[in-house]
Amino acid sequence: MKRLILASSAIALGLSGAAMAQTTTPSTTTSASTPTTGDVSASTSGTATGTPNSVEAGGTSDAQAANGGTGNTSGSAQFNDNMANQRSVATARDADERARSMTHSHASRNGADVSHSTSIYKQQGEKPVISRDTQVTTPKEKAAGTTAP
Amino acid sequence: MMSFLPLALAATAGASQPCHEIHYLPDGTMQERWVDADIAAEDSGNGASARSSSSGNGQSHSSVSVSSSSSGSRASSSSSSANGHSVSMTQDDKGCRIVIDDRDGSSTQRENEP
Repeated sequence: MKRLILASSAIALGLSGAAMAQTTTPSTTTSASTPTTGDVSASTSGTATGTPNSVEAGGTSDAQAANGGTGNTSGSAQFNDNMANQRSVATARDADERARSMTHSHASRNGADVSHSTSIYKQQGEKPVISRDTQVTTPKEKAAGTTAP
Repeated sequence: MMSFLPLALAATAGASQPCHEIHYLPDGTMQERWVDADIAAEDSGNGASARSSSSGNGQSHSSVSVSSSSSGSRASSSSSSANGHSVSMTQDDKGCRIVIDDRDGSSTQRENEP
């Protein structure tokens, strides 16, 4: 009888563990920022997640300006039954500095998820400072997912 | 002196429906009204957009997100500045909400849940 109870407990724990485990679809996320040492700076980020059952995309954009500079940010996102797209842009400039950052993210139900970010900072008389960030999640990687305990 | 103008913001998700608009005025009072989503929407596609600008010593922020699944679709967008002025809009299968905050010096308010 005692052995039976122990066996039942083990089965219950096993079922409980299986019920708690869940597959997480990896998000495809990138970001880019210009240096923040000057009067102007810009940064953007984006993320895309696509599964056979859902698509999701989002992004943020930030612009900062000081000493008479101007900053602009914009974002747009669209979706349909098969995909979701988002684009975020941030720009800032003053008399001798320019900063620009862009991120585009694309989520697909059955294809790859892609996110790409680029930022450019240019000070008058200096070379531009460029940074790029790209991430691609293939359908195979999405299908594998990750298993959380 | 920074100036801020939330230039445009729109979100649509499926069929048009009335939006619950909450407007916080500079004097702290609140106005509520229902607006036609078709008027607020910037385009006819399923999506969201946000745009903001600032000049002088300030910052500008925009964010957008869309999602679609078998359980429904959702679109939201927001724009804000350092002085707390913000506009946000969320629309999903449960409803639509627009929050405009013009209070000076107030904290940025984003209500992304219907």
